[in-house]
Amino acid sequence: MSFNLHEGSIQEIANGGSPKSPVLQVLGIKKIQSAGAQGSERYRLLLSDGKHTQSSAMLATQQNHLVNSGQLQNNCVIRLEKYICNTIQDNRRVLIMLEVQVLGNPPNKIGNPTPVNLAAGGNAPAPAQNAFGSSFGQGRRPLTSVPQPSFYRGGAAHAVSGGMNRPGNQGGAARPNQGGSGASFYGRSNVAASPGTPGRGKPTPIAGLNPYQNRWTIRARVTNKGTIRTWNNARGEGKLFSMDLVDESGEIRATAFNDQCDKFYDLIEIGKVYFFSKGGLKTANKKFTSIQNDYEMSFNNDTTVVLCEDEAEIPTIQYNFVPIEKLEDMEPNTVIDLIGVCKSYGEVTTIVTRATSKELNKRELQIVDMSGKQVNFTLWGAEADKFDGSGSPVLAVKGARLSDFGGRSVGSTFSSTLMINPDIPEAYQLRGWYDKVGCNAEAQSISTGGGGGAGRPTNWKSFQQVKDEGLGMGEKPDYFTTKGTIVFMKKENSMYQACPTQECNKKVVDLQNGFFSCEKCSKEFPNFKYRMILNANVADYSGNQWATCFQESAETILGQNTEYLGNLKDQDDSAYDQVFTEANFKSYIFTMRAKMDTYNDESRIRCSCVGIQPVDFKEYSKKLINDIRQMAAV
Amino acid sequence: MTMGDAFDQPRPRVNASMLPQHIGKYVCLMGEVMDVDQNGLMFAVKTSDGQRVQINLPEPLEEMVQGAIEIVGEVANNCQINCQSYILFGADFDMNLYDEAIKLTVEHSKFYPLADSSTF
Repeated sequence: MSFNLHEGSIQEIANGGSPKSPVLQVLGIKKIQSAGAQGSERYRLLLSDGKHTQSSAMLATQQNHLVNSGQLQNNCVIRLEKYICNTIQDNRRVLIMLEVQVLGNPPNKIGNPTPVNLAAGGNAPAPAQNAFGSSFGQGRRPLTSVPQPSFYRGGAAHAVSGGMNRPGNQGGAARPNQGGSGASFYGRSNVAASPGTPGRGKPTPIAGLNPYQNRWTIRARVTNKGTIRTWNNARGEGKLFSMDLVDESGEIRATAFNDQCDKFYDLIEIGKVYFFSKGGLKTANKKFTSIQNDYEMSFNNDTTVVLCEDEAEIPTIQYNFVPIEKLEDMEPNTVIDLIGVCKSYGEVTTIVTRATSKELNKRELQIVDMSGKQVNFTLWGAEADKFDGSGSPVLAVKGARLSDFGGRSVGSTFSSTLMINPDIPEAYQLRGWYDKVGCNAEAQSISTGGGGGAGRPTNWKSFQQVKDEGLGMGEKPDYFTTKGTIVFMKKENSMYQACPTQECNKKVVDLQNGFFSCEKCSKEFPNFKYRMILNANVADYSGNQWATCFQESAETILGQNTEYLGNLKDQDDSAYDQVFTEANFKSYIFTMRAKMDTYNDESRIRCSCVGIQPVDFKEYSKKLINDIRQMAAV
Repeated sequence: MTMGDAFDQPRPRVNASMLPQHIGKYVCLMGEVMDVDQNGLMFAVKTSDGQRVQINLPEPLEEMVQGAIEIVGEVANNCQINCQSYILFGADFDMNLYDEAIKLTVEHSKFYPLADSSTF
């Protein structure tokens, strides 16, 4: 069997031409291991057309199997069904074989080829038929200035004629990339041509993008677009904006800097689908995004963005919602997606940032979800200004940051997308739940503070629950709130003589000579002040509990200030008794701290009262009604 | 009929929508005084569920009635109340919460049983 090699085709390619499906012989195969790039072994081939040889011929990785399986060997005659040719440094032309058909394997080298005159192509460019600017090497910019604007908004049909994206052009290998061809091949060792090279039919799936391929087109929906941000540091200044892109295979974050930022910012709209071609890929910094992709994209001079009107099969925003109850188990600073109902919201307040001394507006929202938990959510900047929380909207946030500020809280970031009442199933589910159950339910907040400024999250427990659930048994104290009634108070030792210094309160020692010594202040005083330390037995419907009430709570319970009580104690015993009698059997909302206390090898739970409030019957009734509704719903 | 009659038997707390089921029985109804008839023998209340109910009195009122009022009486065939006694609660009363509460007592009647001589 004899083979007709296409003599002269190598010279033609070297001159910048692109003969169709040349038949060539393989004279050598060399394996190249790219530095650092795992799994990116490539084969470099020595090709001959019988007259000349071309040594800078790379086999595209998707054709590696031909070599690995032994189909493609030395002396094989092949037909280059698809290839592209790029000029790299010093005018060398690199041929990339995208699709190779092995025609046969003759025993010997055909003809007596000599290395092609590489200079021929570079020194004598023939612009007329030279579709691939071989002039790159002479310092001119890549041909991005092909008449079509690189961002073309005319829709898919125009995109085809725009020459950058040829979804229907299966024969594109012969003339790929009239636009910015080859610019990204400068000085790369792992020259690559990917299956998704523009000019081929199918876009690359986002999940298939990696830093070792730099020719690709993806078809993706913009699910988020950040605001333009500027930076100014030791390395200079600039601006950027980021966007999130999603297709049916996955999602990726893309960032445009400076010129690209100006070029694309106004043109890219959230929710639309575009073809994106070319750009750098690097390892993603997961700290700044919740996007599920190991890589992120940055636009460069060659990046093109073309609107695609055919949105079929391209999903809308992909959320990865975390239930609020799970937030407590997650590491702070994780970037998460959150959905919930805005139960309440505060006014816009302005803070001055520590880092930049800039004023920044913020607004606190309380978000609840079906886990029955509530979390504080902080909106920043423009989102805070324009937010309207009336009517308890469902809020979906993509890319919010979890913080350990005040227990657990969540905040928007520059890259968050906030959707109010989004058109997604989760939102409708939440809406239904909230309108039926959630709006009346008392959510347990995992954030402290906020939500009307109540100190701690209210953790309602009956005394029986406190015992059953072992509150205070852990290393940290537990706090709970209960409505209780004072049923007994120990009058004895309810006061002590304390250091009169304003901030001290340490118990003083009566020196029996008219002076009182404070160990903490190392001073002796002619006087002391009384401090309360009242032990009260508090009962609710389920049980009772001894609780230590200090100064303020004891004063509330007894309805008198300590100084007055101290005088009574010393001067009018029966009046003093009367105060205790009258204080008995009154009900309050207690906030208590339960903590294991070991004394003389004996451990028991000690409760101290950290807050006491008169019962607000309306509020308490609401709570009871909610409790019943919740119990009934289970 | 004497006062004793009303207090010898259960008088469930109801709102206006529950009156038809209690015709001929004694109930306890909360409302806000709307208008008082000139002769002082009847007045209307806006009940906790927002309806207007007429209250008939056996003898003319001797005081000004306004704000929240609790009426114990017999439900007449036309769902008016023949008042046996009333208590004024003043202005600071949350009718909505009250209405929620009595609805709950009906929904969960096994937890809120009516004793023969109710003290509820």
